[in-house]
Amino acid sequence: MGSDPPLRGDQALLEVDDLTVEFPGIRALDSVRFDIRPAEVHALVGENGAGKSTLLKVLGGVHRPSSGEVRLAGARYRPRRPADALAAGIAVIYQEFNLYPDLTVAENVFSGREPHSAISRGIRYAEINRRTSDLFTVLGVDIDPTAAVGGLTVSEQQLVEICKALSVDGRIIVMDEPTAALSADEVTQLLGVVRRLRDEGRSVVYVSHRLDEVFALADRVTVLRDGRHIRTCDIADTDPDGLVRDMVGRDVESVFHRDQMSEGKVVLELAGVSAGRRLRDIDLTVRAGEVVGIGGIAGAGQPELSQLIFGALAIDFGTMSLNGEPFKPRNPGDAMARGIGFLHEDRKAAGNLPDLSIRQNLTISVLDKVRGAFTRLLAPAKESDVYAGYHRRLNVKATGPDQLIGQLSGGNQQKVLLGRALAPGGKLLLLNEPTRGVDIGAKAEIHRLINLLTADGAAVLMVSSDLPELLGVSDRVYVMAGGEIVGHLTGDDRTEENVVACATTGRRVFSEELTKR
Amino acid sequence: MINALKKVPLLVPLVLVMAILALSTDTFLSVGNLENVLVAAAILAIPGVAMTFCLAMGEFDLSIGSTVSLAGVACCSALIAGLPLAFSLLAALGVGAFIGLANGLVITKLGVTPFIATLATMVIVRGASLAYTDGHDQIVSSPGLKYLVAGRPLGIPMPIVLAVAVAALAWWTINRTRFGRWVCAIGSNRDAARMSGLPVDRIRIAVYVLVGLSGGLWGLLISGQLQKGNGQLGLGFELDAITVVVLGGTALLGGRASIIGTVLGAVMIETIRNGLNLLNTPPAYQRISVGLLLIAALALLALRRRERRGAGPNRVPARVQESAA
Repeated sequence: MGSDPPLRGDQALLEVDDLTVEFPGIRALDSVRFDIRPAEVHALVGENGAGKSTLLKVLGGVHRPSSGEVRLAGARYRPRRPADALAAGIAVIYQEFNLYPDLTVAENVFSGREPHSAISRGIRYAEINRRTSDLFTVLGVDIDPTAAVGGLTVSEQQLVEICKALSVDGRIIVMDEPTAALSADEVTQLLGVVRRLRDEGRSVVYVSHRLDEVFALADRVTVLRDGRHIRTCDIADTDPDGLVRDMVGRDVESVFHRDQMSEGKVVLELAGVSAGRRLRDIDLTVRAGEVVGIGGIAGAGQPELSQLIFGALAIDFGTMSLNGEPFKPRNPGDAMARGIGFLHEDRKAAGNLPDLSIRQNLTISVLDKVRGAFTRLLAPAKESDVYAGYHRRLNVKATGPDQLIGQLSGGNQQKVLLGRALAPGGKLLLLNEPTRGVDIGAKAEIHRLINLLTADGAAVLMVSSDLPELLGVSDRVYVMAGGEIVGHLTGDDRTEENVVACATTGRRVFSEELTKR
Repeated sequence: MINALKKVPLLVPLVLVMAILALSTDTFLSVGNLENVLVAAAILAIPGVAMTFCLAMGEFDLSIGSTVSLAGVACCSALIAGLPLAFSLLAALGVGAFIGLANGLVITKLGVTPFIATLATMVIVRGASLAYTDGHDQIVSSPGLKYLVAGRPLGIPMPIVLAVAVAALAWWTINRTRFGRWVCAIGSNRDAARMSGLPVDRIRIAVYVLVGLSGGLWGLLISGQLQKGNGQLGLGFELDAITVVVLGGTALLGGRASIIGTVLGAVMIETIRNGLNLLNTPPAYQRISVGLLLIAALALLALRRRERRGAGPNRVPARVQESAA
């Protein structure tokens, strides 16, 4: 494929040669090569299923290669368990953190290696707290070592994981999608931390779907596709379009392309809605045929707002109306019966039914539609019809309708769950992070689908922490902070600067008022 | 054939155990003995089938052994008081359903975990049964109650008729009805089920009522066999009921159900018990063997589950082809 600069053996800290990893029936990595130099940020990109996670898990001592070799500082590196990798100075931070929520930050950082008194065996808390706090100083962040990890934000937990890697003096720190769940601000902070790590002489392998981060951060980039090595080059020698081409093996049309909306009648209206301390005095409207985005830093109440509309969170004050009629759902079943479809932001925790097939996952909300009229029994033929319809629209890549959903790539899982949200045929869709952890090809398809749905007259309320998506896909954007709506951006006001300013500085921007002036 | 073995992995060990018993004893293969095994298995399969729903939902019910006792006591004391047979039978089933409803409400509405909630009802119900009988047997002589266990419509032992009917209905429910699909969905991921609009709490309560009902029926069969009810009946039965389900391959963490597996699990346990009897093994060793079986079955299930689901979301990146659209 692309031409690579020749590797000089003395330059590489870690070298991967001809690495092949096979699982029953699947070759996850096929003769892959990869190398890491001292004090560099090396980005690893590729679509879901390209083999990035497998490569990380080989480095981290989780998977063992079927053939090929990994060398660390010239010596053969064959970790047999995660502890071996740590001992060799390679720390892998997986997307799902390995933290104990009930323990303190310092206890987590030194978990398994607690310095303790020789006599009483008691942990030296003063020491671990001090050392943890020193490490945070190195990272340039401020987190209390004695706080319980469960109470931290996702981004702070990420920093605890990084701190853990530093505490074992990790020379190579591997991060898998570190920004997937972070807000724009937190991403900026994390990028700063990664740069500090590099300046300290450590090497970072950075796996991300977000190419803007890759270009902001990386010294070199390696592209994997279908388990094969496609290209390794200096970041200066490529551009986003080129990387996307390498990742998908074809040209992808501009990801965010939104047709002009025609304003329809109001579908959903919230007036002065509050729920506990999480949502305060929310006013909001969504019209037929438009995509309304909800932005803000993580934890500002965005998912709670959509859950409230879906009946999964009780409303304390205020009123909602749906198609002009009062609307007060007691549970998600109520909301669905009124034609609302819902996509949860966390596929694993509240999306997938992992023991069920993709067809069963798709039809679970609409089993009434696939029952015999007289027998009331599930009719497999009807179920297959429903599946076939969505399968074509969503372009799910699977071996067949009976494949278990857990065996699909993230993007395809997401398409199935999107199908579940659409299946009730509702005219209002609440989509939370519709493309989180989804590869570029699937992302474009999902955006195209949203476009089609609104063209058909559906109203979409989309929560997204991905700023380009939020601004590119939405016709209007509400920004939330601290459970309140602090901004409403339309037209030319829809800029990253406005979203970030509203979300973080307490400034309020309401487009209607601007236009009145 | 190979597919059938994959779906019901218990078939191979079961045939193996039977072959060993056939070779090592003279009596195992006699018609009378085989009938004893099957009748015992049928009695155990009835609560096992109900418990299958519970485990498929990712939960379990420890109180069923106590339900056996209280339901038997309810039926027997009603008969002793001179009430009609039909009323006495319904009293036992009603007691079972009520205990199930109580379990379901405590678990869903009060948010107590199933383990603790049913452990508590197990003790409470056992205590109620002991208190009501004051430690005495409630002895009856009821041909009608006896018919439930010893009757032979068309020459087939009644428990087998009942078990086949219950198992067929359950298979149908799990595989062909909305309720069955819902149960598996809840067991697979309860939060996802809730966010898919399923009436999760109502379904969970219904399943506990089912298990309670089956405990009531089990109590009738046991009391029918012994022609008495007392506070000691059904001790340790909860483990039997759960073990047959696990042996049958219904994962303890939920999401799947194998009714055929449960029925075979009941046959397996009763075959082993029968074999140990024929080989003159003391009853204490039978208990040990049930415990060991439970551990072995769980270990195998854990192994299979790891293979099937993978440890993480992207552990095995599936390379897939476009399926025919």
